[in-house]
Amino acid sequence: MSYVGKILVVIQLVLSLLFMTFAGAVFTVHQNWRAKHDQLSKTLDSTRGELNNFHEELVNARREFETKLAEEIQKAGTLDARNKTLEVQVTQLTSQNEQLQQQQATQTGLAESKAQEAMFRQQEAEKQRVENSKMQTRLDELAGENRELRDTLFVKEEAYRVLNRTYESGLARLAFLTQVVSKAGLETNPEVVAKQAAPAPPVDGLVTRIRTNRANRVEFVEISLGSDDGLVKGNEMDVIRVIGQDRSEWLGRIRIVDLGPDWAVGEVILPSKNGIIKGGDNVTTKLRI
Amino acid sequence: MSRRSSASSDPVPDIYVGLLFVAVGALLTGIVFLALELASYGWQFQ
Repeated sequence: MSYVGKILVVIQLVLSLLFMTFAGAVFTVHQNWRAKHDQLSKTLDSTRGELNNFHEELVNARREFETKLAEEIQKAGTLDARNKTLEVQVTQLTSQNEQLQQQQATQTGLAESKAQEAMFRQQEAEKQRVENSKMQTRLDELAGENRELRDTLFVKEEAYRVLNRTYESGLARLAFLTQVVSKAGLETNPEVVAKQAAPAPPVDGLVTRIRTNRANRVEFVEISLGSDDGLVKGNEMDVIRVIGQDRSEWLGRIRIVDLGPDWAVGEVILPSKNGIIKGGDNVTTKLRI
Repeated sequence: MSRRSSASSDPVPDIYVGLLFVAVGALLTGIVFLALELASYGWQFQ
């Protein structure tokens, strides 16, 4: 065998082995695509059947869903109307809530002020309680003093009754003495007596009438002055006669023995030796000889 | 050109003849594998 033949034999051997190896590998690792195709076809048929069932279920479900959707739309309309009503109510309630919050704020302010006032009143009550205890103590003291004063008052009332009896007896005695003094022709009015003791007021008047005694001497004169001019019984007056511009004559002195509001009667106690008193002469208290 | 042996008429087999038999065996084995593969498809080519 030639050298080329040997090489060809070796090449043929190698190629044969490769062929066997590849064929074995194909046979070993191949998959039966036909069996798989059949299996997948069966699976596809069953899947289509399930798909048809699902489709029918889907149609039924869609119908039910549409029915439910219509119902839900109706419910949604109802709920929408109710929602609008509730929104209106919410608006009203919001406004009411705001008003209530304002009222709450106002009430809170009032409550705080009332609390402060209550605190102040509490403090004031405590002070008043202290003052009350003090006043109670003072009241007890005053009650004691009141009892003492009642005792004193009882004693004083007894003394008053004694004094009243003394006063009444004194009054009876005074009335008796006044009667005696009146019978004696003396003045009993203290004011008149005081005026009699005082000097006569400075007044001027006229002699209106005169009365003479058996000796034809002037005994009483009536003058134009009275008690309204301040005269009282016992006042002494001078009787004068104005002769000219610069001259007058003294006629005597009288003492008032009786008088009225605008008249008085005087007794001549000191007659003049030169003149005789007549009606129209002047009387005065301004002269003091 | 090789010269013919005159002493004996049958040539003596050598290693190369053995290799050729091995190659024949490998070819047959590969053919069997391929046949089995086609058998699994039912001898259908399309």
